[in-house]
Amino acid sequence: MVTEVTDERGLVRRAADGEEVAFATLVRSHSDLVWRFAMGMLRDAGAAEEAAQDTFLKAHGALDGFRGDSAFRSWLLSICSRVCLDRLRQVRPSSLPLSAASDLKAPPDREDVRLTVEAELNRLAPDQKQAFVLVSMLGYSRAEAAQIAGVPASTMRSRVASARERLAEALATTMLGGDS
Amino acid sequence: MTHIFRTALLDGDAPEGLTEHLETCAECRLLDARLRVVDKLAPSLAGLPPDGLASRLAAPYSALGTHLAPGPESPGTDTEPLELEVAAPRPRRRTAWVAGISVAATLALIAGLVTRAPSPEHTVQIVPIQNPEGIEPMEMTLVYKQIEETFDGEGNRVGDPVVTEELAVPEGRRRVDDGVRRTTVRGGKRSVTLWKDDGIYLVEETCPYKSPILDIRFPIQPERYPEQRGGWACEGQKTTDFTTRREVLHSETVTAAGRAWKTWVVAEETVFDSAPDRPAVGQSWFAPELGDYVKVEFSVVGPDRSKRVSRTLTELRSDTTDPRLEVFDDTPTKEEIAISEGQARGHRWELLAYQSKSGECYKLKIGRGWSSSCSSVDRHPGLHVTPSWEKNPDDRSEGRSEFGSPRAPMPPSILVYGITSRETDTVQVRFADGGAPLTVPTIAHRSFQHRFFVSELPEGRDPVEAVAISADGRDLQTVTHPSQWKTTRAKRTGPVKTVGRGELQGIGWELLVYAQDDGALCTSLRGGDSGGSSCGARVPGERLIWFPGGGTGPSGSTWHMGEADLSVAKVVADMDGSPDITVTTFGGDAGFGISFYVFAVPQGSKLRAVTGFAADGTELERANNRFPARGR
Repeated sequence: MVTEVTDERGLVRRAADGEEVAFATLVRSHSDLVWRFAMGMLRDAGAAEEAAQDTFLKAHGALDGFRGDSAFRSWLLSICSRVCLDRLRQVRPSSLPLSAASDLKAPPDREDVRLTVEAELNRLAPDQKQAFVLVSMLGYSRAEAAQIAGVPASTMRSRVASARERLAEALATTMLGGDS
Repeated sequence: MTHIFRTALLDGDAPEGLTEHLETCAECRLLDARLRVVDKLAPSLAGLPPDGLASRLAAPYSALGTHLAPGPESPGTDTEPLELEVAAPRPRRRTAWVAGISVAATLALIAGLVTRAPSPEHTVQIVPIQNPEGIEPMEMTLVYKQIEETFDGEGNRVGDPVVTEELAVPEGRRRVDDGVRRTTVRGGKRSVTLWKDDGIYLVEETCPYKSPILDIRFPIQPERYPEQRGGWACEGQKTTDFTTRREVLHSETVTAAGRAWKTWVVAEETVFDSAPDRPAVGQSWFAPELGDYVKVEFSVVGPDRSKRVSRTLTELRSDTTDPRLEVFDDTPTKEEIAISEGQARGHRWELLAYQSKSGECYKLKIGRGWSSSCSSVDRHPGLHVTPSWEKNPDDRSEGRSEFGSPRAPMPPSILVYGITSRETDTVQVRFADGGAPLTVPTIAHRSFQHRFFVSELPEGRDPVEAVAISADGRDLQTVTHPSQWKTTRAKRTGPVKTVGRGELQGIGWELLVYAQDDGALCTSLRGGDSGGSSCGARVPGERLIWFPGGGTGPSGSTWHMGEADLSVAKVVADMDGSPDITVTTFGGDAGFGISFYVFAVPQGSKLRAVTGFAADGTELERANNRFPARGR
């Protein structure tokens, strides 16, 4: 069907009233965004989908708590953020799965760069990763990202900077310099 | 490098003097280059969501259990509302759902089902079935079903049934040799049942079951099926598992979609691993002739809250001439072709079109990997309207134009786009503010029979309507934006009347009643700081008393409210675990044509039945609690 362009506030209200069809519409509208955020954080498609499931489940259970003073998608991401951070705390940070690396056959330089960034992204502290995913990967402003993460804008700014710095430093071994 | 410029680079800022500084600082240029690589890679690091993600994630909220069915109750059938032993009347609370079943929501006091008379002109006798019970299932042609869903429970909107449509698609049915009789695909979500010699098995409901669930055993007879463990397996992902128990209780004649069906009543209890204290319990009416359920009533029962869902078949057709019965398959048959592309407020977009098995499809990609879903202009728009929304009358006129305006990836809407007929020269987009419309020329492509349009929207203006205009200035069609569709909320037709007041267990109560334009009667029983409301059909003339709905009252006991014919003067509640309760009816003079009764069941007792007596003591009618006991 054509893109869902229904009145989101109305959908949220109807979902809060118990109309599951409305909530299903909201889920469909935001599933990609939530999954992409979770994927950025967890670096595993299956885990990202599980996190997205958890996110929507928690969101559905907390619709009463959504006051509408932020965008619904921001509210979802704040929930997803907590879900992902909880998951990250339960697992030991690791680099790329070996299978992913071994599957590469003579990766071109660009792919090598990408792998390096991904590996370093995996090693970032969860709060830095969260900041990087929101701002650099999903394109949120620092102010919006700060609201989603529940931290001051200045904190978000420094986390993004730290994440970018670490990722850039990781490229030192694969990039000698110059523009990409 | 000075600290200030390093910080600026890491923050992505460009303070005055940075460019000049970079020219003289090799270390800075290196950092800048690496950061730009990181920034360039970043949007793609999350990758693209897997196919079917939205459907899988939304499935728990758009499907209820394993049964789809239907059948408005008509006079003369057994239509007692279910007794809910649960609780918690506190209006307008949200509900929570797990794996397709509501696990929260409070019930109030349920009066009955909302009914709507089937439209005779749309009710077509279905192709006769050869084999009711285990023999040869009905040889279905394309079957269209309209199903009305009502929700009772705290927070539900009063009198606002949800209407959905389903199709049994012939392409989805196939015979195989390993004992499988039939596979059916219904509606937008996949629902696959296998017919074997020994019974019907549920194989898929949006996602495949990990193992088939025995739904009905042949020959159908009263019996209890062995407990079954199940769960869904969505592309290998972990999903909620459950334990389900089923029992065929007895046969019963049910009226649905304008005709009577011989049915078997199947009681079911499903306990999801994720919510063991909130089982889904209910009854389904299986019509062998149809090979499906014609009515389903389900409640999710929790220690503190509950929710009831009733699905009834309101329309059933095998009329293949109806354009809405067109089978749609958007599987591409040719590669996508870019119709137009551009940038809008920093977001790159691309309008694509392709040929599908059922016609021409188009979709819009915008931003970082985000894409709208595909739609065919040849598919009747009415089929993909959110069920509870009223369709725009124009929607059904030709089905030749559609339009939308995506909100992604950032609000607000930035593009308007769509597909329209070959004759359309321009599309005029009108806005909510009533200001000057936007005229968008249509785009033709030699590979497609239709034309397309796409344009950036003026900032801050919300589209409400698109008009297809021919080269000679004729309005060909007007399509209303989905945001303008109206909901089908029934309207109150008269004042809210207080039909009775009293006291139960030391707590005062009052019963408020009003009528709606859909014929339903709405009741609201309030006591202490609790209360509950529901809307439903009035007691049909053929029946004299309805089994009452119930919810936990302020004192923890179960309060019940029911309706009765005006001839019923007294109601005796037959209790299991405590003495009978006798109450007099009231409210018969309030102008609603029926009377009401209210009583409380003490904690630990269970209501077995209610019996209505006339003023002279004559027993008029008994209504049993036919809701299956929990914890079977």
